[in-house]
Amino acid sequence: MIRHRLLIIYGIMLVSFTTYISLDTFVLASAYQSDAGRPNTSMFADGSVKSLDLEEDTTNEQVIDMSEDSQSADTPDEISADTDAADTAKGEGKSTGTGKSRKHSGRGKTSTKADSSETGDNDATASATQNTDSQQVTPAENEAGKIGSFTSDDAKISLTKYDYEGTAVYVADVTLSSAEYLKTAFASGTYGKNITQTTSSMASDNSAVLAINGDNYGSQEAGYVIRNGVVYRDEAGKNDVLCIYADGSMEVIDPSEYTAQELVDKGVWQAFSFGPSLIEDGSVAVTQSDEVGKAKASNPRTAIGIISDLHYLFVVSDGRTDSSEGLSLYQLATFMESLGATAAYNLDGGGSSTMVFKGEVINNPTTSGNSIKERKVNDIVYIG
Amino acid sequence: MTLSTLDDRSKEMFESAFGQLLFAFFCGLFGAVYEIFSHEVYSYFMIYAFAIPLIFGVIIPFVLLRFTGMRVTGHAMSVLNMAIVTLTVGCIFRGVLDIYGTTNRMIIVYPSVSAILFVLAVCIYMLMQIGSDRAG
Repeated sequence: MIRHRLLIIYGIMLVSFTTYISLDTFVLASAYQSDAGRPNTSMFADGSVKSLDLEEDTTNEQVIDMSEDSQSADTPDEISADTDAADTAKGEGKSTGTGKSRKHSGRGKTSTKADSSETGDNDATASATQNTDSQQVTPAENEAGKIGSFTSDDAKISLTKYDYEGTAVYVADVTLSSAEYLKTAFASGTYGKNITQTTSSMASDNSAVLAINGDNYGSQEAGYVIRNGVVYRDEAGKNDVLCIYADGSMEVIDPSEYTAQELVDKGVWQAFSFGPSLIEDGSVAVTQSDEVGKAKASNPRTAIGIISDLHYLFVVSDGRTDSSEGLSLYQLATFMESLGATAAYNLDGGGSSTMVFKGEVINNPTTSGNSIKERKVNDIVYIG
Repeated sequence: MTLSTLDDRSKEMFESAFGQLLFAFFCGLFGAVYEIFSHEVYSYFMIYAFAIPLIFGVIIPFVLLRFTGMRVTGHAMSVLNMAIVTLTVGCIFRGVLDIYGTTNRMIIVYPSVSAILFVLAVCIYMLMQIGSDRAG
């Protein structure tokens, strides 16, 4: 009898603890710092951080509706390119040979894209065309069309949709006059745990021209969080860290080599802890078997890449729908490489993957699997 | 050999093993169904959740019985079952966290408590053996 009572009491304790830890992980919100996201203005020469204004847009183009209902008319025939053989040969060994202490980047790299950027030609299609030598798939061939653009004195954004490997991929080709326009924001302006907001809502709150979801820092308990030049979390995680510098360059670093404060002292304007690194030194850095955690094969993805200093690619792919299968990390890396990216980094994907341009959700986020609905996330990366 | 022909201690052990076997299959089924609804994201911890009650609650007790004649019963068995269930629940929860792509430091409580309970079960078993030797 005592044994049975003991077992019942222990069972209740076990269920109670499991309920608590579940709530702590998924539900209970903890604000560590409200009014977060204020920029470290000392990182820029004039001691201020300026913002873009949608009113500055000189293109006056309407964003083409790319929602699920209208896609059939816009999407061209499916591509039939098969990259398996070349992919295997190219991909294997790339990520293994780098080692833990490697330090690769797009910093100071020169490429054909850099040249095109300097001449003002930052169109993604042009990028792809220039990089066809080593590619079997030419994204330009799969281009579904321009969705929209934004042009001002300080920013030029060209948004294009591709149909790649049976998946709708949205690419924002961004050229800035200064990295101060590449910003990040926390949900509700608060750094904390389980504090979430949709990407579009955060984009609206921050008057973003273009926004994508970030690394969802709140889902991890470790990993540097440096946003707008301010350190919010200085505990190193296991993942490599993407650093975007105030000079507009980008680098993926091993967090064991630097503290978060050292990174800020080096000029890191934004740092993300998710990964993996997709492209290093202009080459694909993942193999076909690499995945985020235990995720398999194809998924919606979000990634950010750099072609040359101040010239970025924001990429979001659909997935988990009948019209878009999704991409593997290797496919995503290969795609971005073909666009001319010299460095690229994977951000939070799956149902979180969302791109917002001029206030409209461009892709088809899949929060609960089959339904098209925006998921609430912890943070965004935006141009604004 | 049927359950009705066994002595009380063996019967208790068989009942416990049967319960752990059902628990193992439930965990296996739960893990499989969970992965179906998680867009093919998987976690090895879902497999561990199936294997732990099967190995520690069924296979090892019967191996010990077969080769050493050891029968873990009474309070020792109850505490051992608590340890197995705790570790298994911890594995399921870790699997859920893996699949969701998140972490929680408090998850260390499961293996820690489980280890303490396991040591406690061994101690209780040894005390019971010493007691029965003295009585014998």
